[in-house]
This record gives sequence, C-alpha cells and structure tokens, in this order.
Amino acid sequence: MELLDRKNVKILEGADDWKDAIRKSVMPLEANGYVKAEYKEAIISGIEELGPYIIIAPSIALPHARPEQGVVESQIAITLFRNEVQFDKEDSTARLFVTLAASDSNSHLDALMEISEILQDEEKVEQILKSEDEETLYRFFH
Amino acid sequence: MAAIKKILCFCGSGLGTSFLMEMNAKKALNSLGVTGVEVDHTTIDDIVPGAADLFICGADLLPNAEKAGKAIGLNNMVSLDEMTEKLKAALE
Repeated sequence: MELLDRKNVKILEGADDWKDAIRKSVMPLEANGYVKAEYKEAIISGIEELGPYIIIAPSIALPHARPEQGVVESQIAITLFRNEVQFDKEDSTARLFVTLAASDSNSHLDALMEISEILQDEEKVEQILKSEDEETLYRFFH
Repeated sequence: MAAIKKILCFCGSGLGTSFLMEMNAKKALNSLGVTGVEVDHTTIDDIVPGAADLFICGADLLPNAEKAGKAIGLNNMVSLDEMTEKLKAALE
C-alpha cells in the first residue's frame, strides 16, 4: 500500500488506557513528520465528544481526525496491541489500530478502500491479530 | 413512506469511516438491484433533518442520526453483509 511505510508498523504490548493507545498509535506518524503533535489530541477530543466511533469493526479501530487538525502529509500507521484496549463504553475494545492521516478529503481514499477490502475478510483479520512480528503484520497490508 | 433517494453516511470527521460506509452502501445497493439512489459521505455536523432520506452511521452515533430522520446504525462498518441486511430492511 502506497501510504504505508514499513517503519509505521508497530507491535506493542499494551497501553495504560485508550488515550495512551491513541497517542502510541499516532506516534510513528508524528515521529516521521506526517502529523503535528496536536493531531493525536484532536483524535482524543473527538472520541471524548462522540464516543468510540473510531471502532469500525470488532477489535479494529481507525483513529483519525480532520486534515486541518494537524496533518502535514497523508500517511497510515498500523499498531497492533497484544492486550486489548478498553474504551469508555461497554463492549468497546480494540487491538488493531489503523491510524489515518489525510491531508485532504481525497488523497487517502484508495488506501482506505484497500484497507477495507482486507478488513472485510474476517479470517484474515484473525490472522492479522495473531501476527508474531512487525514484518508479518506489514505484509498483510503491503 | 416516501421513497429513499438520498443516503448520507457520516462519522465524526467525515473522511474515514463515513467513506468506508459509503463504499459498502453502494455495493449493497448494487447487489440488491436498487438504482437511482444517491449516496454520499460527510461529517456529523451536516446531519440535519432533510439532508437525506436515510442516514447511515456507526451504532455509537445512531442517536444523533435519529434526531435528523430515518437512520441505520452499524456495529461493523466494514461488513458488507450487515450493510446489505440493514439497507434491505430500511428500503422495504
């Protein structure tokens, strides 16, 4: 996938809470200059306001905010947490965080379409969640 | 009941999840053999009565959508099966 750089794919043990998980999952994008520091806080504010709407399917979150909330260049980061991250709502948990930074309303749509195709396949999602290392995880999306 | 001519999918930001739902809604309409329905995606700020005949969003945002009109809430936003089933029911 064009918008996914290998160095933005991470496997982590867990997070202190969902906010920590969001910050950790945005970190590769921030460290590599794709988003500004304010981007992760914009995502967190959105979830505080609207609830965990970024959980798009069981175990899968798609953290994202708007282009003007700190995106420098379109890019995707993928973080897999070994332990479930609990959001402030019953039954709202996620392990796979597909973090999206979109610099405008269109440039990321092809990538999203590809991601959606991959995540529609429940068996594949099971395998993705079992990825033992980052290289394996990356290959599912590459 | 008035026919559904316009469907708006929405999420908090209007560019991630809402787009995924738009794609699946279009695929679902195709598979159901429904034509002549406009589908678009947008942000929650645009959800007002009259903006569309049917609103589609994640289950979390359903209460917001129902204030504006007929709405569907999805548990799995990448599932084409769930979209097709719920759209079918809404169109009947």
